[in-house]
Amino acid sequence: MKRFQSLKLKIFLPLLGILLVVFLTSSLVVIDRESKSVKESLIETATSYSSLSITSVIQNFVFYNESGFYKFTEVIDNLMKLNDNLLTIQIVNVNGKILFDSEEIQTGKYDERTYGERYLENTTLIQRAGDPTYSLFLDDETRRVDIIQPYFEDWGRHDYSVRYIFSLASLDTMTNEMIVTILLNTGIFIIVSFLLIFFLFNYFISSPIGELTKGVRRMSKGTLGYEVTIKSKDEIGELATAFNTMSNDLKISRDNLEEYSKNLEKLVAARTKELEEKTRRLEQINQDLTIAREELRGLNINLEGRVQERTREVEKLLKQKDEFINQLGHDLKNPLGPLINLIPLLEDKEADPAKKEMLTVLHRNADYMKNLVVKTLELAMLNSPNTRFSIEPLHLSEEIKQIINNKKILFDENHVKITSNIDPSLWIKADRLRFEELLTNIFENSVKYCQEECRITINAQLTNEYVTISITDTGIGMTQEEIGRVFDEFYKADSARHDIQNTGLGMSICRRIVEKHGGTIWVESPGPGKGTTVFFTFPVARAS
Amino acid sequence: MKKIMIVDDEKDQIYFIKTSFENLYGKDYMIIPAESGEKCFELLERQELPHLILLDIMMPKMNGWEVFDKIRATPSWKEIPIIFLTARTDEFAEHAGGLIAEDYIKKPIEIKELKARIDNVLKKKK
Repeated sequence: MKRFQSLKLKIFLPLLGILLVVFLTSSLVVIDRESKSVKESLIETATSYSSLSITSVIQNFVFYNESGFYKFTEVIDNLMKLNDNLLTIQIVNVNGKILFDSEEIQTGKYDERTYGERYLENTTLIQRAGDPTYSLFLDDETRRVDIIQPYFEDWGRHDYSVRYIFSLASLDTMTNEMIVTILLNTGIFIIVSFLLIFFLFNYFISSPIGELTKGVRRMSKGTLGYEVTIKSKDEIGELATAFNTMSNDLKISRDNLEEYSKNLEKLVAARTKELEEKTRRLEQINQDLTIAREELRGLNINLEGRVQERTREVEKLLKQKDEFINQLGHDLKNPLGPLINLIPLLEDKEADPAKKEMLTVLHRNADYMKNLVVKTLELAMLNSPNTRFSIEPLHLSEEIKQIINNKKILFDENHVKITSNIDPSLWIKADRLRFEELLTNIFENSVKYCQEECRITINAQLTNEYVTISITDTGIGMTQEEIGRVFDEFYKADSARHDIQNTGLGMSICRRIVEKHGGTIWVESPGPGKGTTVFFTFPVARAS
Repeated sequence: MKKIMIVDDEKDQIYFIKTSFENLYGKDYMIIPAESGEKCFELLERQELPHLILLDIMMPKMNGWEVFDKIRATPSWKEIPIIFLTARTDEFAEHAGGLIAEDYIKKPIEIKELKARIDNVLKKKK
């Protein structure tokens, strides 16, 4: 409530001030005007009085002077009583000599004989006494009105003037009374209007606001739907109506919200339950999955174990196979030695042509069997993943020279002229035994398909990290079709001519050897009858 | 005349090499057979040293590698050139330092190639 009081103070104190200023100002204006008007009326009254009473005064005075005794003083007294404001009546002649002064009567001093001659106070007054026109002089200081009224007798002679001095003291009294009255009225008016405004303010604004405040407080404490009782149809009324509407709307909203909230809680509870259910199911699934994964892992381990076991078995079998082939190789190769060496001896010594012919057939077939056995086993060895190579740097020109030397018999018997143009600075990385085998196979082919004049030329060239070696012969050459099939196993250049010298495995062995060293091998030929060149590459070894 | 000792457990192998050499090259080569490593050492101790030894790898009891190692470890024998006789090419890859010998020859042996190799080795030795 203090706030509203302060609101009231804020409104009513300035209002009161304004009212006071307005009313005081207007009062002062009114007072000023009124006092002027009163003053004027007083002066008018005094003027008319003086003009009316002059004859009576002078005639009585003259009569008194001529007849001796007459109650002139009583006349003056009566005249004085006629006007409360009249202070003094003086009778003066045209020379300014005071013939009579009412004050002297009042003080008991009037006696012409004893009092002697007297004149007016100053020359201005004396002049005025002699002036045949009426004159009025207002002295605001002494609050007096000095009127000098000339008297003309029946014949128009001007001997006397009467001087009236009126007091304006009554004017002040009247003014004061007026001020008091006006202020009183104003005060009452202000208080009444103030109270009226206060009441109206209180009734129409303050208390509705208080009511509204109460409503707002209640609302803020949660009592929604509270309605304020303001019946007026002004703006406050509208505000109250709006407030009530808002309050009701809020109540409805809150009720709806509560309803919604309750529903939501139910919903959330339901959802939570659902979620818990799902989570539980998920956990169950998870557990199942974990178990399944465990089982799977177990199975996997089992499987891996079995795979490893099988791999080991296979490896073991492969090893056994290799071992078997090697053993077989040994066991097959050993008996061939005596056959291929002793049969030619007998053949040479035999004089009987029939027997010699038999030994020649034996010799040829023993050689063919030797070739077949050796090359088949070699190819099997090269095809086995377990075959290991012993790679070492080889001095290419020296190595080739050595191989040519070892095969000297082969070349000599077949009248083959062999030339090696290898740069002595070249070294390759190779397995020595396999390299020799490779070259031997190529040489044997060259010798086999030799024409009348047989030459073999060996060249080598370094390209990047590889040495390309070429072996060119002057043999029967090859067609493109033959070149395409030269590395096929059991392929023979001339299958029509059943050549028992040829197993058809030599070039396959060559390709396996070169590829096992990371190189490539290919064959070129200008055409049938124009010789053949076999190219192959080996990784270079930098001489240290 | 070159004295060539051949160490091989198979008598037929020794026989055909010896016979072939005698028939083809007459008195240029004398083949001294040794049926085992032990026999080889005995002959080496007892007789004049051969110019070259042909050594079979696959032998019972003492194999070719062991014989080779012992010969190389014996100061008076270590200079003798040795050519391995082998039926199995994988044996060299499996044996470290397989090519420390002067040469090798793969079985089945062709006498002409063997002679060429023997001549090459002996020529180099000189």
